[in-house]
Amino acid sequence: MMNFAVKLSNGFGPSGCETEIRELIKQELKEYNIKFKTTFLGSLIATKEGKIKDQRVIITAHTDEVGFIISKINNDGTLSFRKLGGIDDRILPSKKVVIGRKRTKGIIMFPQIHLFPPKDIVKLKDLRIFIGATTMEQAAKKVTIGDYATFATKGEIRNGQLWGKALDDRIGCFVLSEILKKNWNIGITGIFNSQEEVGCRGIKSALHNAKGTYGLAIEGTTAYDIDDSLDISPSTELGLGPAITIIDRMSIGNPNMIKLMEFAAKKKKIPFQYKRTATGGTETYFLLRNKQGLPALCISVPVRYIHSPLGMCLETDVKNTISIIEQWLLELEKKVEEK
Amino acid sequence: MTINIKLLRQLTQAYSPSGYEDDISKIIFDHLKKLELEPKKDLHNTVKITMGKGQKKVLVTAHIDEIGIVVNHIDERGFLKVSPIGFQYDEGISGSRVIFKNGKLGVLIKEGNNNDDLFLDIGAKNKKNAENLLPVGSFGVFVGDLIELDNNRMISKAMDNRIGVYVLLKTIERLKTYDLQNEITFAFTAQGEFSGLGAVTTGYSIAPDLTISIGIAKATDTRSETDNTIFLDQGIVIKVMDHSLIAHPLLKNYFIDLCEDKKIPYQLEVISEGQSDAAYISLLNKGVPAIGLSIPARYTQKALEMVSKSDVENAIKILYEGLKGTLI
Repeated sequence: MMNFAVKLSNGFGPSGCETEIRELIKQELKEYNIKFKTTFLGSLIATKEGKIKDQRVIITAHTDEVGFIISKINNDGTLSFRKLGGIDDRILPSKKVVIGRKRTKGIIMFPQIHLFPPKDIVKLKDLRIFIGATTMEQAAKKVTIGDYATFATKGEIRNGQLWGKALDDRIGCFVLSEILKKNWNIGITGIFNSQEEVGCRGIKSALHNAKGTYGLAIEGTTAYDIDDSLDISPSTELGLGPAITIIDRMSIGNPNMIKLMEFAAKKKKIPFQYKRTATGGTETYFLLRNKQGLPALCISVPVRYIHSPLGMCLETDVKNTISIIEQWLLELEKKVEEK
Repeated sequence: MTINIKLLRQLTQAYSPSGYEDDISKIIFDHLKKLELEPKKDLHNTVKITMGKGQKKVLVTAHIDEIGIVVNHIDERGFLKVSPIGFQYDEGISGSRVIFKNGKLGVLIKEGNNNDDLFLDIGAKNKKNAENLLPVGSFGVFVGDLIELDNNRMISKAMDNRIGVYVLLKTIERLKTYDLQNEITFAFTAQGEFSGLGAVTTGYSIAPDLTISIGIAKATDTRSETDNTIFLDQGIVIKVMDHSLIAHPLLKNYFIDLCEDKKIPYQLEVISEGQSDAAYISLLNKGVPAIGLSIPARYTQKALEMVSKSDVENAIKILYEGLKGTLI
């Protein structure tokens, strides 16, 4: 079941270049009676009809990942680049990347310990990507300015753990795909958004093309449950189940929807936790303020080391995230039908 | 005209941090019912009432939520790490008392120079004890009764923006029997201190031709301020420019001319901070002419905020006279 999650994680899709991810999703969902539409900004809208006609749930996940864009080819054949999304410069040196349509392999060069004392802090503007070319002409045959790049990481499942890049938010795309495979009484509009990491751009236009009465955002979120010596909030912890966001930097989850999610979880004994930091922004913000306003909330799969070459999450947390959303949808259907 | 202290106390003392405005929105809803009006409440707790008929649709807003904190983490010794909602930590926050929905109290303490050094002590003995009293995700607001001081001044928690709510309620009361020339919707909006959610969703559903938001302006006549431009007792503040909005020139001139004409004192504000409902609404639909009118308040974004009764009375007067007219 998780194979598709690995496939999504391996997909090439930095912000603005999500075509491959969209195609993977369309391919996976082609036999499930879903209508697809792609917006000009690259968001994929997947509509599934239900028996309940006037009520729909908009569920979002974003397809893009943090990555890079090539800004200059230097005389020595190396490449200068800019970041797409929030990546910590400290983790960049000596990481493998893939670049552009030819999927050229490269490495982010780094000042070697033999020559530079390790205390020197690396600055993004000094970093270059080496692709094996030694002149500008050689390099220009493989890449052009404006080519996208991502970390070159191949995902795998190990002992119930998913190791891979881009789990923020391919794991959300995976969960949403699984939800869309099932049949529901209430209509579901799944939006696989583009360009979230550069400021939630895809969802703004996508919501113009989608109607809904409820909203849910699915995310892969920070889990810093690794350092016991610091008595600080880990935000979320692996293994405790999906994380409900009460508040983040931009939005406050609708209290009634949060209650319904808690109720659904307790009824089916699905473990869950709360996200325990008020930082970060999600697409929930745009769902809450869509038109007259939607009751909306955010649920996340806890992921260690998001926005890095390698993240990690647990298969059980992913499965519990799917279960909690499924039960929430059933409760929502009940609530709608009672009205 | 005098201030209805009982009503203002009820408004200021309601527990209603951003996102959890149930209490204040019920008080407002019931008050409007008592005035024999037909208010409506939306899913995000914004209360609305529409009066009058006419060519133009006017949206007048005041946000109803207050600044607060949310519990993020409880450490082994039972201290609570919290995040501010709608304000920035600074020197004036340490020592402030905080109350939660379940009635539990705590005090914010800062021990050190970083904002990370701020924590909440609720008297818990250890982590488990604290978790039972106040689980992660609990929202708290400041504690501070409404006190009347000398020279017609009043201080309370949540004066931002319950004083704006008060002004709107009193204006509605006075306009109730008046034959208005425009269709005016008064909206008591949710999450004004946070994301402007109530303003955006109300602005979308009303689609107004112009909008006015009532808030508070930082009075800069305090001891630490060197740039004194806004003063208590010197009248309503017409917000010419803030961080997020430049007042629509016709609306600005309308209110300046009105103040001059009716001999109502006013002050003009140009600042580089600030966010208001009007700014959010101004960007909606095809764009909406917008302006903010404010009551000057000392110590904004702190536990206690001070206003003057004379400014409140003037605010009601200008809003009443302004809305009676054609506007622009």
